[in-house]
Amino acid sequence: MKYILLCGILLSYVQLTACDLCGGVGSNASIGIFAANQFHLVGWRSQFRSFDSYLYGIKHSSEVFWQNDLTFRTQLGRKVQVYGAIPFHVARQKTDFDATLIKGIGDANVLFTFALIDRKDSLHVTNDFLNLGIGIKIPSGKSGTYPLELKNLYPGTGSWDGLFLSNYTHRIGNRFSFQAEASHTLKGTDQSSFRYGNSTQVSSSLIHNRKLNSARLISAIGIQQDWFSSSQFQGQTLVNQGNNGYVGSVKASINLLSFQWLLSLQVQRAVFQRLNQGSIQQKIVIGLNLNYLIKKKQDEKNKH
Amino acid sequence: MKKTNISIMAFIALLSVTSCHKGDATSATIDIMEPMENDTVAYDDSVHFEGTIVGDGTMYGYKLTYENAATGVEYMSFPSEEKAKSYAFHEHWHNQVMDTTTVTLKVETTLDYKGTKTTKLIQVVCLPQ
Repeated sequence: MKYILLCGILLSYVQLTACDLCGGVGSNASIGIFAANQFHLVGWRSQFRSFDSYLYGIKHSSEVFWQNDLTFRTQLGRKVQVYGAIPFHVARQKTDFDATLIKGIGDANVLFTFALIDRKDSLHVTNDFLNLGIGIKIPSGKSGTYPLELKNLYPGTGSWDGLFLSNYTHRIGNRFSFQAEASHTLKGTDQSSFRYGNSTQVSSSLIHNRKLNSARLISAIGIQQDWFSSSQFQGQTLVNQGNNGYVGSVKASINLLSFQWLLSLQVQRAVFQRLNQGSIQQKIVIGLNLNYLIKKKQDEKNKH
Repeated sequence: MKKTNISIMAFIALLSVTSCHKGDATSATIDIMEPMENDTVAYDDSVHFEGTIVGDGTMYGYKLTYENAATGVEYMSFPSEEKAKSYAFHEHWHNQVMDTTTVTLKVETTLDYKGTKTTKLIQVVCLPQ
């Protein structure tokens, strides 16, 4: 337990959504509010997102996306971490006439991060932590071929994408910390010469942690902004249905950290948005994570 | 006294029945954005059927139909019983006619619980291979 306390607010997860604009918008890369611990971990992450789509200002369909990821994280030395996720994706679109369900393995991803700044106090509690990350998304999931209308419902995008991330955490007193995160995803072209537009995300969170019996309760509130550039087909920018736009959101999470488990619940709600010329409205996003912490062997600790 | 009670109950029942449907539409505006009247559609192309229905109250669904204008044979239909004050539709039918055929695209809306309907038609010319 002492080790956990010394590490501070420390676990992490990577949030990468293969489907870029699923009747709405998937998110960019994120390693979340926990960004500095040195545990290995394996976990399960579930995320539910919902959207409404409009035609001539009238609701035409509703879409829900349920993604379940198997995730892992491992520490390579003191400064390098490797994150990975294999998603399983279920998407459903309902129109006035029928409902379409598409499910399958999504695009796996792997992210390497490097701790550029890791400043600790005399008790080894992290005061400042800056992580830089680079990764790829692999087109392992089934994807739709443009101009298939339901392309955005598919679990994969069909492209190799590059991921870039930075994450800074600053401790404020004993119980609070502040985190700022920025990420950019460079989208590749699929086999049909379709390319989703690049996307960028910035977010900041205020994090509070307190002891709760033998566990720690870590809660956070924050804001997030996502931007999506227009998609392209055969090198030409798509003007009308380009999947471009922005979403500004508020978010909150509650995390319970015990000796070997981390349970997290996240909620995100769009405050302002304009996606696909306003034809898509993102509704609520809910996430649930369960991670198992794998303690390091003594010789690994000694190296640090 | 008994008669009075029965009268009150009958009145309440009548009121509740009528109030259930007081928001029903009495008319609807149907706009067909695509296709245009007398558009020509090549073989193997899709006939794109897109538009809106806006009622002055709650409607009880609608149906889109593609049918042969000469014979009345229905090629494809999309029925919906969704209740709403407005609808936006966007469907396709794949043209694979054997001879040059005038196809009627029909939007039929159910305005109220009694099944009162309002309709709008448009015709396109579908070409064979």
